[in-house]
Amino acid sequence: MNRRTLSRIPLALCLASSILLPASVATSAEEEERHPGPQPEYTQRGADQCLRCHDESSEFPVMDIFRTPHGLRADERTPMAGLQCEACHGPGGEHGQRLRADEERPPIPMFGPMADTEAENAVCMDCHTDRHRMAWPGSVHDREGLACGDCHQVHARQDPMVAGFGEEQTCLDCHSEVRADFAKRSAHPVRNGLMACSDCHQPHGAEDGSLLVDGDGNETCYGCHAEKRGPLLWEHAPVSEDCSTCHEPHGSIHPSLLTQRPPLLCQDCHSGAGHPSQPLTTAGLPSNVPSPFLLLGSCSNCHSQVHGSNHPAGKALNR
Amino acid sequence: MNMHRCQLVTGLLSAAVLHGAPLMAAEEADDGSAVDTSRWECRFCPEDEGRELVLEPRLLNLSDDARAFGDYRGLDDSGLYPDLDLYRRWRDGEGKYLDILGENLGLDVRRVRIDGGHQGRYAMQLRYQAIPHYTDFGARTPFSGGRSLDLPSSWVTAGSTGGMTALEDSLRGVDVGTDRDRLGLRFEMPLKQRWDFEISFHQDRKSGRRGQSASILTTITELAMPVDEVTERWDVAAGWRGEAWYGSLSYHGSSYEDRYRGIAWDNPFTPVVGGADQGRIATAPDNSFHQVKAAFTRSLATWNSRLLVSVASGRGRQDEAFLPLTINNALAAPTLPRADLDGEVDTKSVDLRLTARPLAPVSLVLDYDYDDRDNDTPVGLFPIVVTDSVVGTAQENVPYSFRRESVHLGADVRVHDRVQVAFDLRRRDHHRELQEVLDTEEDQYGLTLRADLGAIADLRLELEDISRVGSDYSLVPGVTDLQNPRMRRFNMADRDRERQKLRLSLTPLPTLSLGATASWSEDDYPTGELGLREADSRERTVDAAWMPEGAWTLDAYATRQSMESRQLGSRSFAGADWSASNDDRTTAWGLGARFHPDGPWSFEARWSRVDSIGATTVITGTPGGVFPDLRSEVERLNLSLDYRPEGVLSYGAGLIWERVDTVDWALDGIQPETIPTLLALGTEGPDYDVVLLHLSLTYRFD
Repeated sequence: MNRRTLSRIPLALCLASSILLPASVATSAEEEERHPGPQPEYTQRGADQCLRCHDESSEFPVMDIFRTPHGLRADERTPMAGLQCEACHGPGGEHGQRLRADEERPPIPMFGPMADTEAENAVCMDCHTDRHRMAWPGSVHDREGLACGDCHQVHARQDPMVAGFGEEQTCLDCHSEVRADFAKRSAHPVRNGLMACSDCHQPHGAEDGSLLVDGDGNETCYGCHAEKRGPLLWEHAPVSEDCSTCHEPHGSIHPSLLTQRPPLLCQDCHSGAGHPSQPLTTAGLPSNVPSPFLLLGSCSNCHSQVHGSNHPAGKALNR
Repeated sequence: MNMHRCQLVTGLLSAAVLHGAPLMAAEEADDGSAVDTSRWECRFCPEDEGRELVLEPRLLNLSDDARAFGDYRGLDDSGLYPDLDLYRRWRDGEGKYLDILGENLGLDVRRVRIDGGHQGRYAMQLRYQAIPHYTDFGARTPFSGGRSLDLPSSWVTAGSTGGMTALEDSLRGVDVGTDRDRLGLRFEMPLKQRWDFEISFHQDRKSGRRGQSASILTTITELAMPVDEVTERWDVAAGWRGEAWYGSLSYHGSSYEDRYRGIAWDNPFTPVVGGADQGRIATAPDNSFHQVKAAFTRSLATWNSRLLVSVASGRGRQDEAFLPLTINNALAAPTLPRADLDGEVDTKSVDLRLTARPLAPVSLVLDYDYDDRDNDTPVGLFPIVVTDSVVGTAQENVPYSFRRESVHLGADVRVHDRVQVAFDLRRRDHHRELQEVLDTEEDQYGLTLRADLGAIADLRLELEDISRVGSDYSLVPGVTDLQNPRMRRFNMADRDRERQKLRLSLTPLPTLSLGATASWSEDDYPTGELGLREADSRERTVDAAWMPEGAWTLDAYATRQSMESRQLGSRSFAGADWSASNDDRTTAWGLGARFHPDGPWSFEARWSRVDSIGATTVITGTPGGVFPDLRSEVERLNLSLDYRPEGVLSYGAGLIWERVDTVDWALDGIQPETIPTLLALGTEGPDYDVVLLHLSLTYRFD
């Protein structure tokens, strides 16, 4: 790091520390701010009271939770081992009480019709803050106001986002622009079910704005494409910097997920005297005088080591 | 304590152990107060115990041979395919569990996943997946062999493919594609209440053949090169949770190994230079990467704040022995400065994030990110042999390094119950070494408006302006000084970018939801004369979902994308004297219907179509600049019918129809001998029209 860089880190830390006061958990005063007024009471019988109505025949079936990790009472960490349904849904005394004929049932405080995304997410994060989710606060999805329940199905026998099937459809509900990309002739096999969005992205938050699992874009790609990592004797500079300089990772109409077809892709950057800067026209098509500069791999017909070469004679990326 | 009380206490404790909750009379509410749970017996809570086995044998039939259809599916030959899915589940009711899932066990895309452990104490997972990836369809080659690709003894070399008289008789079909076998193992355990520990291992084995070209001077051969490589990855992590904080320490290691150090091939062309009757190309060298990362997050009392700090340090190494400078024994090749690269790259990253809510309607986020790639590979003067033919001028290698820093301030303001505005300011600095632009600064301004327009509508508007300015653009002596000084490489050139996105969601009826999205992006490169000048993209999407009655679900979508770019070039190593434009357009539609009434029957249908057109125009002042369109059409229909009566058996039937048509001027009609100086594989673009039928029987054992 140089001096300029060093000066910025303490600045950032000073900003942080100027806001810091002696640390403690969020105070009850802040809780009170979120839920003003007297706290509702808990039920008298816990889950037994809830399950009288919310059984298999209910409009909102919930029983499958007992086939999931959340429902195992033998694990003291789970909601069912503690305050049961009300561990997540909040005190249900008012919601579960007997009503007069004309009385409307008060809603359950949490994960019901009176959605409070921040409070509900705090319930989940109280248990599920770990190294995979510690970047959630301030992440893109958090700032979007996304609730955990918008993607996850806690009461389902199998949560598609955890089981791995159906994950794509949940993501595409918001990221619809990617659906067409996955169907193009060159694409990662998400549409075939062989890859999931979470193979590359960490939806719970990451250090970079694209929510890549390994932070820096290239390291995520190297998870499957480690042969490109190098270092190499003869490097192609943009390759070591950012794979998305030339590739569109979701899908492309060009082969190898390229953003553009060679030679024009290469000629966006290369302008040396001679063949690199010559314009290629239809004169090089098979119907005329078929040209190796234009057809098949174009530039990569000769410069096939486009990602770099470790051959001692590979300076021109042709060995 | 007398014996009677001992017995009473023992009895009560026994009851507590047996019945759990009833005698755990109090739990703690969020506000810290005790909750009386003495009557919370959970009598209606079912225990999850027992075993379950589901077997689903299937029979598939593919109507026609279609290797392109088999890409990522493993179904490429017409005929019958037996297949099997299985699911095995076991619970003891006290936390021990075992899940075994096997999918497509009869096909080349088989997948197995085994999860087991004791919930709350430890968990283990084993994963296996096979991924077949087929490319270069219809390939034919005269070569055989692996590490050395040999021509038949009857081969006749020639100066061009037209003179290769033995070519036609020597060609044989070759499957170009790879099989990737992925194995993963993971073990995790929470150590006591606040520790967690995880260790995982992952291995990818890839084998098969890859299409790659190699040249000897001006002649080129397209080869089906053998592939045999292994990537391994291992991760170890430990975490500790406190009252208001969480910290973790992790190690990540990765290694890549290629079983082939280089591939040699017989030159099918008549050598122009003596001894150049073979060439040899390097494969990717073995490499490794290790990284240690520490991360910490803590809630802070003031303004409901949270701080995240993450620091990582890594090192990549590569020291595989160099191949000889040339395979041509007729050349007096100079000696190399060293036997291997001794390559080393150090990486460092620091990420800081502070979030706060100074006022109820205002949230702030402050990020600082730093990434450094320091390439410490030693520099040497390497003699050059041009494509195993000619000794050239020695060159120095160029170890590229870079550093990126960014600072971001974001604010989310709820200006009204139904309106939220987000502001984003970001500065990115990028420092590069040994490249034309040493420093770039990028300023980003973003504004997002989210409005809840009542019960039936939501609106979202995003505006973004990003401006990148670089230091002086100057050629690097010995590295890029052969480039036209008027060129500006787009990844580091000055750039103005504007993005807009509008999304409207409507719910006019409780059973109907509609959505429309439009987005625009424009990139301009205002400095320099050559290279990429403009790049624009647009996208419009409409989607709908309707549930008219409880049993029906209908959905539809349509998307139109366009990506246009324009670039300038100079054939005369002077100012711009030609231009080119690309216009790629994609249209995608889809319809889906699901009918699942009460009863044993359910039906699902899904249709989709994606049409893509790529138009290229090169303007040089002479005719011939308008290329034929690149076209691809992918259409698919998926029907499935399931019958699940009461009992242990259920039945399914289904059909997948898929049609793919492609027109690619760079590929179509190019036979092995079409290009005089390039011996090609003669591959074809994907074109097929197939039907895949399947019948299944599902048996559930409890």
